[in-house]
Formats: sequence, structure tokens, C-alpha cells
Amino acid sequence: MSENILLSTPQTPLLSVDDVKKWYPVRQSMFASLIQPDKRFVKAIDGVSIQLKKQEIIGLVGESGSGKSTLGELVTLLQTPTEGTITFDGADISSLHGDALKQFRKRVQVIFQDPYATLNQRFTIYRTVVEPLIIHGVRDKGERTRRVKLALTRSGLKPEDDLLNAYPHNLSGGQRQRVSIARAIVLEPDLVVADEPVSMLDVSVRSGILNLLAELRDTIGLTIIFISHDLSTVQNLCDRIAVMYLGRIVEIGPVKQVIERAFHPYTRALLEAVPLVDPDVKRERTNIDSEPPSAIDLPPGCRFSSRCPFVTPECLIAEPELVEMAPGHYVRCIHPRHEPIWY
Amino acid sequence: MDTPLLEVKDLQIEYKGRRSLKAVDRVNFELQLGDNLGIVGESGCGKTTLAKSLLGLLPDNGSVVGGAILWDKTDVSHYSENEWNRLRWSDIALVPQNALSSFNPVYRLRDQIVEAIRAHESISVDDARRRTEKLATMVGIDPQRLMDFPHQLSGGMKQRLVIAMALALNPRLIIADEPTTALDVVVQDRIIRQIVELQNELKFAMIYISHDIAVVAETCHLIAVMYAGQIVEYGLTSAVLKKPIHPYTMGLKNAFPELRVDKPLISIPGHPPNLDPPPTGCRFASRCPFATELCRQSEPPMVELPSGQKAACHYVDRALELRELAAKAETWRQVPAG
Repeated sequence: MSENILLSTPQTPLLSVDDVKKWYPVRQSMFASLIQPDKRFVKAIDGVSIQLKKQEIIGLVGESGSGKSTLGELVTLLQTPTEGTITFDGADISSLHGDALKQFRKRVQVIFQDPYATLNQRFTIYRTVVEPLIIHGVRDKGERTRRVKLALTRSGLKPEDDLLNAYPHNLSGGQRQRVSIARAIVLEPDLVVADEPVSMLDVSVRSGILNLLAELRDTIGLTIIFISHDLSTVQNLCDRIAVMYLGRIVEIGPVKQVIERAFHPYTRALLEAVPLVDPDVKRERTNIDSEPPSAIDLPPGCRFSSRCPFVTPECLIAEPELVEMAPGHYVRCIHPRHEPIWY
Repeated sequence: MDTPLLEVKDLQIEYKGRRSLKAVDRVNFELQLGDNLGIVGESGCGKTTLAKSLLGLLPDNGSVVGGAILWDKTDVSHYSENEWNRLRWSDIALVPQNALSSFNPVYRLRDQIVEAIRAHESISVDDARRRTEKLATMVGIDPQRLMDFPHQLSGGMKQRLVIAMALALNPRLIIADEPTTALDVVVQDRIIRQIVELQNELKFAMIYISHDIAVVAETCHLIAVMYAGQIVEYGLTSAVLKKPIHPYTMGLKNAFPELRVDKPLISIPGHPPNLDPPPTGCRFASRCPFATELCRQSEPPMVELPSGQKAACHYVDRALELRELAAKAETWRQVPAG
């Protein structure tokens, strides 16, 4: 894994997310809106900034409801932000139209969680993987076949007729996920958003998919946003981790740094909640309440304060800014934890 | 030694169809009260089928075709639906994977639990309500929340109530089928802890089914590793996970990402064999880097070490050497793809 990937580099980032918000209005009955005329919002993303270098793999982690998937959808233009800008390769993506938009769609692809649901059961593997090429106007049939086979090979499958003519139900879970990866890379994109791509797979094939993603970064220069709730998977693949909590990044930094020297109590709680394979080690945990508050009415000040074991009155005054604790390692907490993590 | 609470003997379960398939093939194990057995394996290895058979919940095309399930010395493997109805939940209870679909969305939670209790025991509504409140407190849910409808609770809270429901009739055996798979780590951690605490307190026996070896490492003191319908390794969790003697267990451990353990992830090449018909010899042979002609020809017997740890492998005596080799990625690359 490349070192110092995070240090401010002269290179312009491939993707830049600047103070982006995504608020969903809460539907209210007429009666409720009379009592409480202010419109209420679910603040799924509430001010996120992040920059990605080319060929970087960043892990977005957090509980369900933290906004990690929404961020992935905003970056791929499956949703548009309420506020803020997202710049891809120098262009504001919300301003893209026509050809430029089509080019963007070609260069940014998604891999979803469930390889059973995201493949059309009636399409052969060939048809599944060739579809993006047809949509993006690759007219030459020979060229299409060549590129389908290349994508399948790059995804670790053997592009023989057996496979090309097979249907998803003929394949195992791991093979299906490889097919959805092949479909995502057949257009040779620059950025791939992988939303929990291994969480539904068996352990024995998971590592194969993770290794494959790492390989694709090197061979075809992919930049990857890897969304996961599982810190142990992120550790093995990513250069950086961004920990999200209720719509904001609370800690971000190089993967090793964050795992070994997490400063934010929430990051620590996440790390401590991961079960260990060694049955003789007894974990110690920071006790946090297992239920996050609603993203509609956030507590004032630090949004983690309602669950934080280290909360003080100052925490409730204003939301802390991200502070750089070590090179490239930022934390949104006024009482960062310095004591060693128990392990 | 006491007679075991549950004794599974040479159990064979077959699914009938155009082509029949033995999903569980000659499985043996025993449980005492207070025991805590984790069953791990890939999807399709038969772990869920095994669990279903212990609850009399096999689908219509599935049946026990050999061996026995001795519950309290009685073979229950061919019980009728009526007989199962008396045993299931009151004595053997299930904590299913999907808590979200375990409750009826249009009834209040309390009413559903009360109704379920009263279906099995003749007690008054008031008594049943009191018991429901006690159960909720036991799993860390404020009894007030019982007046809510299922959609008002988070996934983690619903999963806790499912556990509470399983405990409602004081069963002697709880079968938990991937009870935390759909949950976040923090919630999962809470629930695992809760299960362990409840078990220590109430002393029921438990079978915990999971594909996550770390979760099993933390919850169970016994572990059975299943592969292609059979138990391939069995023993104390600490022994099996630290010093596996079956190459499949070694492979599973390699493939499992561990926080703060800097190791390359090695996946097990290939995929489980088709069981129709099962391959001759060892079922893992096609994916095993150490397989020899012997392995492909003859099925390995279960070999037991003096410590009680056992594995179905011809080369249990070479385990020390195999473990070292299995930790290297190149070892697994030698397996012919196919």
C-alpha cells in the first residue's frame, strides 16, 4: 500500500466534495405543520468535505443511518445535493448536461451490495456485461466482445462460452459479485463506488473480492470509494478511512493511524465492538448507547454527545471542527482520546 | 457422564426433488445443559438445514433419512407436527436471523408476545403481560416500548425482543441462526454480550449458527466447522481456532480479516462441491492444497486427538506442518483452479 497518500499533494484531486448537504424534508400532516410551522428535515448528509486522489481507495464507515450510502449516491449523481458542490476531474457535476453528463456516467460506476438482486436474472452474463457498452455506443460487435472478455478476465473469471452464456442462477455468490465488478469496469471508469460489496458473501470468497479490488486499482488505475460497516475489511483494502456519524465525518486519516490511534470516542467504540477471532483475548469496551439519535432533531453541539461517555457541558455548545491531530489525521472532537486503545 | 440433553447421531437429511440431495450427511454431536456450540461454514454447507431439523422445521421436501436426533433420550427425528408443536419453543426455541419479519406489523409488540405465550401455556393475560415485561427488561428493553408497533423499534431492539420471545417459556435449548448478521457492529456487540450473559444466568444449552468465526469465538466454547454437509472439525473453540487440524478450518482462518492483525488475506480457491452426487473421497480435496491420491480415493475418518479436538482428515498427524504451510499464500495458489 502506498504511504503518505494523504499528505497534501500538488496533484489536483480526482474527486472533491465540498461542504455537501443532503436534507430530506419530513412530510408532516397539516395539523402538525400548524403547530410547528418550521419545515423539518432528515439531515442524511450534513456538511461533508472530502477529496480523493487518483488511485486512492477510501473507506467510508459508520452505522446504518450515518449517511455513507447517501454520500456514495451523491458522488455518482444518483441523487443531487441540497447544498455544496461535488467536483469530478475539475468540473462541477451538478452542471453537467448532455454529452458531458454521459461521459461522467461512463467514468463513474457503482458496485452494489447484493449480487443476487443487482443482476438481471433473465440476462446472460454476456448480455449483463455488454449492456453498458451498448448504452455508451460501442457499435462494433467484435470490439464489444473483446471488451466484455477483458473485463471478465480482469475480474478473475474465465471468459469462456460456458460463462458468457450462463445466467446468474448458475453462478455462486462470489462469481456473481465478480460479474457485477466486470459490468462496472467494462467502460474503464476512473471512479468506482463499492457499497458494501462483500458483506453478503461468504468469508472464504470475500478476501478474493477484496484482493481483486486492490488489484484493479493497480492494473487499471481505479479510484475506489469503499462503503462498509465492517472495519476489519476496510483495514485490508483502504488507504484512508473516513468515519461518518449522523451525516458528518467525525474522523478521517490514513488507515493504520485511525485503527491504531483513533482519537474520536465514536471511532474507538466502533473498533472495540469488532469481535476477535482469538478466543483467549477478552475485549474491553467503551460503553456507548447502542441506539443513535434521530437524524431529524440533532442534539445541539457535538452530534455524538448524546452517546458519548466523555461528554462535558462544553460539548453541547457548538459542533466541533475537524482538527488535524497528526499529518492527515483529522478529528471532530474537543476531547480527543489520547490514552492507548486497550489492545 | 450424564446423558446428553441432545444427541445427534449419524444424522442424514435429504431434500427430494428431480434429483435428491443429501444436505446433511452423517453428522454427530452431543450437547449438555449449559453447553454452547457454534456451527460455522459457508452458505450451502448444511448448517441451517441441520438447525431446522432440530426444530422440526424442515421444508416439505426435506426429511431425515438416517440416524437419529435424541432429545432427552427420545428420538424426535420422525415426530409429527403435533408432537413438534409441544416441544418447539417451549423446550427448543429459535432465534431467527431476520427479526424484522418476525413480528406482525399491525399488532402492538406486547399483544403479540402475550398471545404467543398463551398459546403454549394456560396462564392469565395479566400474568402473561407481567412475564412479557420481565422478559423485555431482561434483554434491556424498556417495558414501555412494548406498547409500540414493530416499525417504531430499531432493528437491534426488535432482535432483542425476538431473543426475549425465545426465552419466554424457559426452553432448555436455544438455536440462534445468524442472529446478528443484519445488524451494525455496535448493536451486534451488545446482543452477543446479552446472549452470553443470559446463557450464564439461565444455563440453557445453545447452538449458535454463523458464518462469522469471530462472533462464534466470542460466544461459544465449542465449535463445529461444517463443509459440504458434514462436520469436518470439532472441538473447544479456543483449540480449534488457535490450532486447527483440518485444512478447511485453516483456510477459513486465513480468509477472515482480523482487525489489527496485519496479514495478507488468502481466499480458499474454488467452490464447494456439487453434492449430487457427492465426490468420492474427501469432500474438500478439490480445494485442498495438501490433497493426495488417498484423499481423492477414500473418505477420511473422524480422528480424535487426546484433547478431544477432532477432524475428518487423513493428515491430522501432520497438522503442525500443514498449519505452517497453510499460512502462506503460495500454498493455496497450487490448487488447480476448477
